[in-house]
Amino acid sequence: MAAGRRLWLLMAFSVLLGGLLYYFLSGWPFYLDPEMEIDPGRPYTLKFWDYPLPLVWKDGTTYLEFVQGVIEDFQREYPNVQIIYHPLGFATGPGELSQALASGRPPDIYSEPFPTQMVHHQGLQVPVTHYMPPEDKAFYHPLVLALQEAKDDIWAWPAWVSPQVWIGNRQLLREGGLDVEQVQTLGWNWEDYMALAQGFEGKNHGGFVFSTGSCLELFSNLLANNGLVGEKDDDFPLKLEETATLFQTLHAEGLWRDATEKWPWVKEFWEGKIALLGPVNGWVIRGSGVGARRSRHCPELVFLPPPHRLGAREYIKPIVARVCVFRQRRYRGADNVKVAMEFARYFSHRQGQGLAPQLWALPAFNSRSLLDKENNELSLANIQFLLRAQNYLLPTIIAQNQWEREDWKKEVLAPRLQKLLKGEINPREFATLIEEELKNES
Amino acid sequence: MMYNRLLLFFLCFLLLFTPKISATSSGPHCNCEGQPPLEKTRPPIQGEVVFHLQAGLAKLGYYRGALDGIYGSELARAVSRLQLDLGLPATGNVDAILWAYLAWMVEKPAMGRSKAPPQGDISILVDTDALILIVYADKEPHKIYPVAIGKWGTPTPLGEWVIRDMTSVWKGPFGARWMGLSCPFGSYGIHGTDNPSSIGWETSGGCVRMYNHDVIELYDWVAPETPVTIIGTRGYPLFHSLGPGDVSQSVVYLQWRLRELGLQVGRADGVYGEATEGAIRELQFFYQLPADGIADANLLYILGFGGGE
Repeated sequence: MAAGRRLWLLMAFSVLLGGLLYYFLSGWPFYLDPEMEIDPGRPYTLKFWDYPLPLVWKDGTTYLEFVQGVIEDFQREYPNVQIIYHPLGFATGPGELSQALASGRPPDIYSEPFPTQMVHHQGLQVPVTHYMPPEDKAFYHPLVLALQEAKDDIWAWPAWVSPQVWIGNRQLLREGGLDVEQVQTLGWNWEDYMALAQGFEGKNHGGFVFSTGSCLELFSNLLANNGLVGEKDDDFPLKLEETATLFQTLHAEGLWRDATEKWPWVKEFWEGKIALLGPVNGWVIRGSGVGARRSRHCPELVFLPPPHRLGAREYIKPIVARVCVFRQRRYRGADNVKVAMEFARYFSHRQGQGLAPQLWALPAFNSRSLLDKENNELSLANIQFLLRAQNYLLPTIIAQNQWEREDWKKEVLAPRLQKLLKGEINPREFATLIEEELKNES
Repeated sequence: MMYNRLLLFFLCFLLLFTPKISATSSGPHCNCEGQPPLEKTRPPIQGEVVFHLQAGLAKLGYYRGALDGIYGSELARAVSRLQLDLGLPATGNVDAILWAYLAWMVEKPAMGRSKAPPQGDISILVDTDALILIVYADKEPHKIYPVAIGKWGTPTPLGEWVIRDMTSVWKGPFGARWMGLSCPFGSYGIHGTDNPSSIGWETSGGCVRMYNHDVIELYDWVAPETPVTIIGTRGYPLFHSLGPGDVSQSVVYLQWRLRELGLQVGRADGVYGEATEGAIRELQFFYQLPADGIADANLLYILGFGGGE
């Protein structure tokens, strides 16, 4: 009887001890050691999450084949590293990551072409600051790195940068009287834009200037280039009323058209009926017009900055694809983090070099290498413009606020913009309403 | 001659019972037309069908006249001689039984010798450019057959289908066997023929026609749900937007293009379902267009279809 009781007590004690060990070890303090060597004798398994991009190279290589090639190249150097690739959907991927972070088991490497936030998880996301060799750092544009900075740390490896430029038909713009080279170098303002657009209307020769963004996209673009940046943060720096007035004028005078309307603007651009598209995702133009580009009548494309207010310089909204590294809540060691970092660094370099020419974007690492690429579809002038555009990338402070939150834009901004366009409210009332919303938010 | 009579009896048996089978079930159906009955008239019947009859009888040694497509006296006499040999009334007219007999007798064997049944996962590929049907066993080619496909006006549906219904009765234009396809925008199948001279040409109402010997062999190798992929370069551009619920050949082209881009669309079955809609949304997200799941004129243009309303 006594022996039986002792056995029960021993079992209960074992269970209790096991539970305590699990509790404490799972939250065991972790340390990061960038100098830690990767053990060539230890097998490592890395979970790699990525968004397969709908791209096919000229030789028929698909994005997934490209990624497979990068992984195999890495494994040649590190044969003891197994990489488990998990493709994500654009719509469902961010949710999957949130769930994985909440459960404490995120992927080791997470590649995101459209970053949703700077730091996904304060405890599990590992900053890359101390893992970035100084010689590497010199090959990144300071503003591109700044876009990954928060709290004195760099939070991801930038892979490629796509400055969201306006795209024009060089011949039509010249016919409209625009000095394209000057605009590419010195920029232009809204008065220049309106004069150009009105000129096309008067000449009636089939060339139009259209903004193809949705009204939300155009308004954000106007706002960024009409006084938002460089102002103090504590009062309302947004020139909301002025921006709303300009927005209303452009609409009233028919100087832009909403891309969400069902009209074939992509086709019309390639047919030489549209002089300027903006704000527009350049990949739309790159991805289309395969047939047009083979014909003799293909429009010569020219990249332009968005117009800005008088006396200022334009700000260009970028997309900076990046690769993040996470640790597991149940820490697997500093060498595991090191090997994940090594792959993230390697992948970001290779992805930048491989994808940038496909996307008419710049590799984040050594962006000037785009000039050396053979068979580049972009003209030298456009590549040089993209390189210059890096100097005017919209700072992080803007990309982080509610102006970039899709739900906020759709639920708060869009209905008020519609009221403004219908004339139900004037620009002053619009500005007041938005300011109130912003106050409520804060 | 005894063999011929037995064969004729067998064909008559099939032809007599086929209408009953058709009447009691939905049965196979498609746009393919059988060979019409022919008779000697004044002025004489002329045309391609008569030419096929002349060619068939010439091959069997009953007709030695000109292959001119005219149903003249010499041709009528040749038909009568055949009928007498088969123990049929010598009317000189051609009916469904005689067409079936001719089809059977003048056929050519398939490319390559008859093979043992394929083992493993069976799938079928029809190449409408090369006019061939390839049977695959575990993704390795097993046997190639010549086929006829749809005319320009009634093209064979390209896409990824499966075999739905199977029938082993002789029925006029379907010949010895019928294997219906899952194509949702029309009734199409793989079947035999009562006009073997059409094999190797674009002559059908959209179905894939085979020699009867071949289709009998193939029939025993497949089962319902066997995948059938039909490929080819013939097609027509997309001129309109496509959206959820659409069912058409255009949707197949769209699905193939999306798959080329690495997007998941499942089987290219011509149905704009959830998978296709999801793939379109992914693409719209990538291009930062409104993600409504509809392939509008702009998206179709980006995908290289050059359409637009």
